[in-house]
Amino acid sequence: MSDPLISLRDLWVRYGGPQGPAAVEAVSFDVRPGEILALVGESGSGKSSLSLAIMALLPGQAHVSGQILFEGADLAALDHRRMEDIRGARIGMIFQEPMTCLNPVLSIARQMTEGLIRHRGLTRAEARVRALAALADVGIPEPARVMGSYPHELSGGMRQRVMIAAALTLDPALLLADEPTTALDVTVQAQVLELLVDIRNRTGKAVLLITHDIGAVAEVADRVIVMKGGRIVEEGPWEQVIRAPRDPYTAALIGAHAALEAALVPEESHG
Amino acid sequence: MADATPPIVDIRGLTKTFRAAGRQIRALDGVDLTLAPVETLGIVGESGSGKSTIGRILAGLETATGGEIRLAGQDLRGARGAAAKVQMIFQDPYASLNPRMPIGLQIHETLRGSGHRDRVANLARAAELLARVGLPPDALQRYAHEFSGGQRQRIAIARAMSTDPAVIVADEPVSALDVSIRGQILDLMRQMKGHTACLFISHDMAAVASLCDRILVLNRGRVVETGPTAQIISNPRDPYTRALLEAIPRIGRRRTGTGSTPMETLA
Amino acid sequence: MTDTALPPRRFRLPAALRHWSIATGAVILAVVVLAAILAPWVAPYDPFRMGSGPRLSPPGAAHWFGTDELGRDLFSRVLLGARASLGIGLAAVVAGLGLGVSFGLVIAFCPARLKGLLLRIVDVVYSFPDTLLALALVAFLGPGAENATLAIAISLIPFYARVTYGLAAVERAKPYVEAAQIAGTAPTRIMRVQVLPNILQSLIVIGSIGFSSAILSAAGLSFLGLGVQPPSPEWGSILASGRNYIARAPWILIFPGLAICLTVLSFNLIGDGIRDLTDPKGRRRRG
Repeated sequence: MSDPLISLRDLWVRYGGPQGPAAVEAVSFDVRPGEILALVGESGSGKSSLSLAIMALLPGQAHVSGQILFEGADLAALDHRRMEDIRGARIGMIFQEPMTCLNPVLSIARQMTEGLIRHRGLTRAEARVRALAALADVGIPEPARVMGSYPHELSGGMRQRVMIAAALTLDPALLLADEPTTALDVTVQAQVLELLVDIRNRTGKAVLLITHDIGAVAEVADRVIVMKGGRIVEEGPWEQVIRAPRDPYTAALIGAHAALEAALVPEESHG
Repeated sequence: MADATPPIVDIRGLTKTFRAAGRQIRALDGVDLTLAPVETLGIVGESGSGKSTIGRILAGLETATGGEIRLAGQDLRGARGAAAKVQMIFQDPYASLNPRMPIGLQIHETLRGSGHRDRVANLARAAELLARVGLPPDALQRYAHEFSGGQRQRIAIARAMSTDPAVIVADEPVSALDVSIRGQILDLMRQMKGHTACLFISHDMAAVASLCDRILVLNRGRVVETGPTAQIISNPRDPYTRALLEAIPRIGRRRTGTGSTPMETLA
Repeated sequence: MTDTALPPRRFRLPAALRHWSIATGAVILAVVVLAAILAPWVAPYDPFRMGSGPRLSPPGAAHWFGTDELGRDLFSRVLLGARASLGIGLAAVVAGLGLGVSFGLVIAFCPARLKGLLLRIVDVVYSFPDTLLALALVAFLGPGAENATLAIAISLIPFYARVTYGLAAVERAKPYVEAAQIAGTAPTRIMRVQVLPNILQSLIVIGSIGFSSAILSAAGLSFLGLGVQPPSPEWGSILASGRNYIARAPWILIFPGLAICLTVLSFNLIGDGIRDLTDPKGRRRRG
């Protein structure tokens, strides 16, 4: 078993000071290279706070304790400047709503090359080539045309692909995908999930998938962590968690999904 | 459908064009739809399909550009009296209740709109409805923010049912809810079946299939397929319907990463 | 899937008074209001009596603010002047707010075309500065305290209408208002029962902003001789009477000017503070 890529050690996130209410309580887990680890939970489970803690994007009144070990550094203790270097360059981010991350007044080309020019010191032309390749990589037809367009000219699915491509240009070791499919149409959701698996297969990048959708988890995750009320209630390989959940909450979550899914199974007895 | 009873809603050739940024956008392009009394019809489609627009036109929140809508045999156009016959349940449980009005009064206001002015009687009816959707008796005096998302959606359902509408338009009523709550609200809506007709609008094929008698699939403002739920689920004829069904995440299926590029990459 | 189930932001007085800018504003305002109310009893001299002291005598033990060109006690006149200034401001704001809010609500519920037209009209009128508008109206109505109040009230309408429209339009698009519409509730009732309570808090803040502008207008009109008529004291008219003696007796301008400044400042401080407290984006814990 390879060394973990990122390790969370006894992570707590509290709001309003060190004694405030905890959104994340004593959470520890590893993400290993090349795996898709799914963190699943409903609203209030603490999964969003956890994802923000990893990116050091929590609001000022949040208090983080514990360690987030990544490539020899503790992200929880890192200063603002060094975190900026890691964010984007070493940990790629994919969010629920691409529009919040894409600048509406800049062309896609500009947004995709900026990071390469700044973090990697490439020339504009070199950066352009890399960006074009990344767009083609995520299955965007006519990448050259997309490069010249603006975010509002693209569909929701295209935007999400552009954001994934942008996250990939800097060749990060870890992709943090926080509810990447929630705002998308069902058919596009399926494509984005396929894309995440495809990227992992081809590049060997690790993916931390944070989602409320247990169905998506069942389809793509290698390992699953279930969170509830800020705590981990269950953790294990996907077969075990999905097929034989030990925690009653996990079972209920899967049951609720399965009940809905059952409606899609044609009834043989009918007709 | 060779039904003897006349439909409660009969829509023919419904069109709606919006003007956005100087361009004409055709949201609905000749939609035909019938809804039998006490039938639940699911309208399924993705963003931009025009599914919400149908509901909003029926509820009188928007006006159609063309076509004909008959509600209980009467032409809907210009008929203000039709108001209380249609009620609506909205997607966002946070914005669909007035944050500064006690729940009981909100139901009173709804009843008042259709001519029931007796406040005491209305509050009594509100209490009875709130109990029926599974809320504690003190809900009457409480405010929206004191309730969870699922409870608020229960309140919205109680409010919609208060006037005994002929049709309830439910526009994505469960999409903003957690999965575990989603099932409870769908159960509640299932209990409502048989009391009124319902237009259940959703992008979620699983939710629609679990609740509706018939399904109508909408794509870019056109009806691509319509039929009884069992038929649409087991034997979808239209490729778009098949794609919708195929896309739903399922426990017991694994994605391999090979289907990620349906749009062929150009060299 | 959002975790935000924030209760509506309620404005609580005790909490508000701990906010520094509201507290400061409230203290200043309390002093001004108290002075206005108690003026007849507190004033050391009859504000109308000429020759209470020597003409144009500087501030001193006998006359705290000095005397004016007719030997009237300036302190007593500024005290009594507070009544006129605050009175006109209050009356104008109440009337202007009432009319402006009604108008704004109606515009928000108009059909699209009529709405566009009405908004254009409001915008055109709004583009004139308040005081200029009030000035034009008084020129039309004739000088005097009542007409000045009316003119100031009318001059505030476009501002209040525009702001109310903006707030109401946001609420109008929310599902709870749509639900009321579907239920068949009359538009006027939706405005009053559903929308108004949800924008009231913002309107109070806006009201306090209008107050300072109304007091400035009142002083301005009186200064020009179109508002409160002499010999009745009003801050603006005291200023006007003192302007000929600016070099010899600057106190005639300084004290009423200071009174106007402080009053306007107090309203602005309170307004800013309330906005600070009630702005959902500024929901941060202090202390």
